[in-house]
Amino acid sequence: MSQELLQIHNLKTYFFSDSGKIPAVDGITLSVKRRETVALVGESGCGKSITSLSIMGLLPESGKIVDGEIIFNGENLVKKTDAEMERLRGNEISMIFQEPMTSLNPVLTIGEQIMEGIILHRKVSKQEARERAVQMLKLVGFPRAEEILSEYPHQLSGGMRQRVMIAMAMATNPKLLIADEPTTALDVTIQAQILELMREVKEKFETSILLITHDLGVVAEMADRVIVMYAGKVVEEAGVEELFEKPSHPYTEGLMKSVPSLEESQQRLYSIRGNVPSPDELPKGCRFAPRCDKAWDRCFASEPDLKEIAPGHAVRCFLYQSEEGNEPR
Amino acid sequence: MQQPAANLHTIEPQPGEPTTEAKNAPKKGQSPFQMAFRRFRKNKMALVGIVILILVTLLSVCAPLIASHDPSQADLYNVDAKPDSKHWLGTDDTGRDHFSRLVYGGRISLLIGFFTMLFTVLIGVTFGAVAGYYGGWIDNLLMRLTDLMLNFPFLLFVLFLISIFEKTTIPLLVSALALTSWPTTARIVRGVFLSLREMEYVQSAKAIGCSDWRIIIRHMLPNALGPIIVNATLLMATMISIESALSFLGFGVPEVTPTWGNMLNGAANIRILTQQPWIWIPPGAMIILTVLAINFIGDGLRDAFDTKSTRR
Repeated sequence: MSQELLQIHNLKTYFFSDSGKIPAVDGITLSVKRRETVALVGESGCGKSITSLSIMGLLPESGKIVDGEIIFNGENLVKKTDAEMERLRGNEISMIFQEPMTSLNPVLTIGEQIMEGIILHRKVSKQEARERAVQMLKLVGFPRAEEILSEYPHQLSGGMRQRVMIAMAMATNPKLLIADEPTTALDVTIQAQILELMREVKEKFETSILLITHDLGVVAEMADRVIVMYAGKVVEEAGVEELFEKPSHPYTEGLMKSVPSLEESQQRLYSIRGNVPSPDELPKGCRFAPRCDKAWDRCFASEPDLKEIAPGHAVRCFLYQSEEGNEPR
Repeated sequence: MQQPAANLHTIEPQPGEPTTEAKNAPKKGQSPFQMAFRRFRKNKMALVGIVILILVTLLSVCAPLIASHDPSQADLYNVDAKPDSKHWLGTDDTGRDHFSRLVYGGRISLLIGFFTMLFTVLIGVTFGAVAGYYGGWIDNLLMRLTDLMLNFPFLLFVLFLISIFEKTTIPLLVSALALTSWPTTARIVRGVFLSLREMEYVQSAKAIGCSDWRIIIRHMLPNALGPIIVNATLLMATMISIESALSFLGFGVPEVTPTWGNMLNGAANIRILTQQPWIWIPPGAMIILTVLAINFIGDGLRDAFDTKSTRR
């Protein structure tokens, strides 16, 4: 068995609309090892969620994987049929969504929703599924699990619902858990609890996690490795400590600076100027160049490659790629 | 210096005052449907509607027990009789007991109303759900078909069927009505499904590996049930009045079988209208009463299911 659970090679997911094709994910390569937590970081609209939906095979109709491969557990998911993906989803790969308030079906009980995945993927009786659901609910921290089974989502708070979502996702013991901003919609105090729970569950089930977030605090808390995305491309990839110590891409640096700090008093919180370019009007050259303080002519003319600057640390920036007669300033 | 102390005393709770309102707290494990029905129970008009509908239904179901005569038994020695103790509502122009016909008439009207509603909803929900869930070309195809059927001359269709089959039967009438009235339901259901499709729990159901059909039936349909039930109720009322109208025009069920509609048809001449009000007022009143009752129920259900439009 290989070390890598998930390998994405040069994945390109484009959207096709009347105004032409929109490259939402434009050739990203990443990998998740077994039992590893990889954080996918970036601003809204940089293609994080589309990457996760591509893995799940849940792209909206207008979206299509045009190139690349997604190797999960030795199999290429891009080539799988819908029926094969259906068997995989919720079984080998599970997903937690951002909005716990709306991710549970209001007309089904908590029990019915947790048991559904178990019954779909395991050949078990309803009774066994029920026992498994109780066990999962206890695991995610409901002491009165039996009662919760027959309750409806509207009776639970946001944090409780996210716990239920985790119980639902983990009930079939998946190899990979994709968590799409699992704590964004929660109170700060609840966030910490949910992160703690995810860490526990990960240890217990030996699951790999692909964590999608824009919250660097969550990254520091959870991730082993971090992949920073910008406008559909990977701009930096490094171990979590390395990244926080030596953020190398100007975009990553900007992200770090935008986090409010308790130590230094700032007049005004730093923010990266401008907005993420819309994927249908990407700039020529480096996609970050128009917003970059360190950009020079070369950045506007051509696009840098992802280059390794230290073991396990890769950056897509000309600052780290010398060229004769055009040294970085 | 005494006054502040007196003020302090008033803060203490009065012995008679209730301290908690724990009894009003919602009970555990209430599904959204149970909550909707709790709201429904508070709607007086809807409850009146329910009572009337139950009475009318009971009257029709127990017709053999209530009716004093065979409703299709002609008695040519006793035509156009006035109401008396033997014939409570008199007899019609062939001597059939009018009261018995009225009681039996409800059967056909309710039966046709109910089954037409059932089939209309079945067709409409299926088309609407599939169109709304899949979208794209499937939606386009089904909705163009819906548009076509929406503009279909319904009366001509019924006339056409009658001329082919020579005789109108109840199944024929039900199918003719159902086949021409599903488009409205389909449109409503499609709209609901289009918005449900974007809900995160549908995405989340996909993420645990549910098939399309499972999502449509188990996850989306129950969430669309509110509007569907409301539509079905109002549809039944419409169907009862359409059946009556058709019978009145003579395109309904053959005259031997009594329905409220063809009882009115029998009363369609100036002599009966002016001189024998007991012939046409009772069936007319029954139709209005039933249709109104069902409409009240429908309104009540709409208020109960749609929490946003509740008038307080």
